[in-house]
Amino acid sequence: MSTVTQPHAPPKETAHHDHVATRGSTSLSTFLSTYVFSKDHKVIGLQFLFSTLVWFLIGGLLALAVRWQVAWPWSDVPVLGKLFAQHGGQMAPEFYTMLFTMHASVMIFLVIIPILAGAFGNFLIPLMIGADDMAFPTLNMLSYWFMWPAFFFFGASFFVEGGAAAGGWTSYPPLSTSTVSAPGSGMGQTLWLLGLTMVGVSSMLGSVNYMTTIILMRAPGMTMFRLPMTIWAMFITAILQAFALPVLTAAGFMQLTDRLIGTGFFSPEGNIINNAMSGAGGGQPLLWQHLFWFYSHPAVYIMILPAMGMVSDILTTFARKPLFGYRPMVYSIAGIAGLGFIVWGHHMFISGMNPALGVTFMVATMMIALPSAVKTFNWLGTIWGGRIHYTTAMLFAISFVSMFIIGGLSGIFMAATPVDIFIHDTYFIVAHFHYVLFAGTAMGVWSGIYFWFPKMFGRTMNEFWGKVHFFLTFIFLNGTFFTMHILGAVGFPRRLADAYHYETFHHLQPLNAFMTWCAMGMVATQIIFAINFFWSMFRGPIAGRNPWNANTLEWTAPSPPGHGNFDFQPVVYRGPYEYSVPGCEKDHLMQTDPPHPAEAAAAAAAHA
Amino acid sequence: MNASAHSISHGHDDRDAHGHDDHGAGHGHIVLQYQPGLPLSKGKLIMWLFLSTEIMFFAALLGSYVVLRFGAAVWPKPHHVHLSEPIGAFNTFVLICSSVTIVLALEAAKANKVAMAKNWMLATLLLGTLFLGIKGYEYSAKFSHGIYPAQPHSRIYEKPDLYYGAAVRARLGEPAMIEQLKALDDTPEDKLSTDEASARRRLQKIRQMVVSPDQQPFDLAVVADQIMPLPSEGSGGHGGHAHGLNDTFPWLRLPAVIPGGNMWASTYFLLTGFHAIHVAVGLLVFAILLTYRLDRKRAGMIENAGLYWHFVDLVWIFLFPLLYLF
Repeated sequence: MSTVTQPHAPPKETAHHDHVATRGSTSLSTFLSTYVFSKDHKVIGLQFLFSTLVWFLIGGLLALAVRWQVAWPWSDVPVLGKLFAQHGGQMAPEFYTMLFTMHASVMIFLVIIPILAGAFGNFLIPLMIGADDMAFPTLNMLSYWFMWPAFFFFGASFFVEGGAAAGGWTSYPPLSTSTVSAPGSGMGQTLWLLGLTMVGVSSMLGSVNYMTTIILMRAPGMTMFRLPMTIWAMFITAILQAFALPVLTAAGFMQLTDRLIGTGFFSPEGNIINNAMSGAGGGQPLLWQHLFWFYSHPAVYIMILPAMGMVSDILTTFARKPLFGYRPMVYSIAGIAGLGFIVWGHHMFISGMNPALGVTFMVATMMIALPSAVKTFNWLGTIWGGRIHYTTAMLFAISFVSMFIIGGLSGIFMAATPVDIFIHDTYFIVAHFHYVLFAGTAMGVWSGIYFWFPKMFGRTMNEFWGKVHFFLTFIFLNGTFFTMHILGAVGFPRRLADAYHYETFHHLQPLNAFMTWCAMGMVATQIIFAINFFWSMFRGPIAGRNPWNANTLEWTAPSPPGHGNFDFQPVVYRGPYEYSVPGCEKDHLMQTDPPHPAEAAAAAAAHA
Repeated sequence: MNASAHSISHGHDDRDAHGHDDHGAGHGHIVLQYQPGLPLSKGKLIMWLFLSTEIMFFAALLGSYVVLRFGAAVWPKPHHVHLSEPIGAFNTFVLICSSVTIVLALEAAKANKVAMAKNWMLATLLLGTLFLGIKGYEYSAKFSHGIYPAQPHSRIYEKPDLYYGAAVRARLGEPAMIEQLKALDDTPEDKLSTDEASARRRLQKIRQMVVSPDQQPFDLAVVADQIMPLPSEGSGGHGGHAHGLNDTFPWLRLPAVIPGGNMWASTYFLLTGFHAIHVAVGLLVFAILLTYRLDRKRAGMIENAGLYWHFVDLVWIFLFPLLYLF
């Protein structure tokens, strides 16, 4: 391969090389435009994927530090104690508060939301609808680059005076609005808000672009009801993001002005903190909670719907059966999203609320069980009687469904106001959202990575080590999170640096130690995943265009697809789930497969 | 990758009014056909979607305003905070006119009347600038009365309580202030207007009141009323307000009492501030558009800018009655 660069070579000349060769003879600027400031949706998707996986690791280590303190309070913390030595290796209570705040913030804003919408959304949407790229590639690039200020703000906040934000990821006033209320309420909290705003800008740019792309750039024949579930889920998630997020952005600005220039939106009259009047007063702390949850409840669905969509596609592929109830699946996602906008109050049952309003929120929340149950039963119906291929992706997808059932059922407990009053702020809540977000979404994400890895890198991941990764993760996650239900049922409080301060919880220490061992095992297991991931990227078996014999459009493109994705004009003749069609010699019909003679005859008969 | 597609990869999607050319030439690829779900260009659709996110943004701000206002124990009347309805109404008129001129610019561009389109665009830009100018004048009027969005600069107190009395004493005790007050005291009576003379007597009286050891609780209310009286309904006329000591002697800058004034200021500056930022962004877009030849090919761009501009107008149509009239 020639190393001589020809900066003024006419495009005609370079066009003779194939794609890889062109890359080989690049100058630095071409490298930057190909891999760093790329406008190609696939590169942007992978950029999102790698960035979020790095933050996933950071968030996981933060969680381990939290677990350490819960299991063995005030004992010297290995490694971390040396890094942030405060009391000879012990963590201070406010340091613990900072840890769980940043664990949640990192996991939610820098991992789950961007990995689903940013990584998978970017990579899959144009490929699965038959487009060459997003509608606005530059905007798409910006949506990734707006994440970097957020990465910077969140990362830098660990090193400012007072440490990172410590007011909980919900950032409730007054801890968050007054700079003097706690050590972490200083610069760290301001950086947290700035980071949040940047994540918001990124999501907004991404979501309007996704919607435009899905509406205007589908391949001929790809009607809305021939879209794969992944795309439906991404589409509805984009709607949720576009309509819920601006509210949080507005609230974030108001909290910023409260902190930086002293307005009083969220600080009440006569609010005295550390013996000083805080701000002018006249504001309402509850207003923040309403604005925050108006976004953050729909955000819960932003964090699961894309995984639901991906899992639907993976289940059908490996059960070799059509999706059970395609349209109900679409409507139930829309139903979940719609109801998601009117249930935010269930996070505030004990914040003080008119009982009539509480009942309204309770009933609306319980209604979400209906579309969720539709989805669950349809997934079961999909794999029922199928010829199941137990690939790693399928195992993760099946575990997504089963773990989602546990997380979903515990959600119904919390929806009921009387029950919630008892379990609020206990580990029961922690168990619930980890079942949905880790055992649900993260399993869905791994399922998606194992499934689409061949399309991303042209090679398949190692199945054996994938299964080891799956089984260990599955065992350890249940060891960590299922036990949290037990802790919560006896009232073990979350967010306390030392709950053993209360004698009644003394006997729970061994259980907590067990959970921490499981959590460590879970994080350690990811080393297997990391090695498998990078080894397979370069050494895995070459995958063809369609290694799984799946139906959707991305599997008709080369692996990995070049710039522009398709080397032919995709035309769609059928829905995405035509597996094991009776009377058809192949066991699956791809969306691009033209009607075969039997179908054409049947159609002619129907018209006659 | 097949490289023969160079020549066609440019005219990629001519429905796109932005003339969007993001796909780098040189990466030859075939031009894909699509089945659009809506008869809109990409630029127009994404603009509508973007505006719908903006609606939610302002909905959050307006919703917060409503909650804070109706949750507040007292809320100042427009005259208490020196809001002038005629100025606000005039500004509303200016903005509505600019909405008309942008439509005229679009019509001219569609008809390929380039010079006329440019003129109407320029008119829109000027009207928008006028709006911001008037808004700036209104802001400066607030600032001169000590009404700032927040504490350190704000000279507004909620009620004439001990904190207020202490603030007035502190202001009167500043060295520069003592000298100016001395100079005022030494000015012969005939050098002052009748207004000033009476104001000087009242100022001397409240200076005694705030330091008096046998001060009565009500005295501070009298002090506040002398410094900046709150006009009762209808007494102020159009935007004018009763004359207080701060008005007669602007250098006094004494703390004033406006019940609910701080929360009012927080919300007023938040809402009008974010609106003004949006206006400024619109003006920037118009300024960029003015550098182009505004012919038929640019009509899509002008239309999208106009959509945004109408939205900014519409927000003001909500803000004007909420802030000035109720």
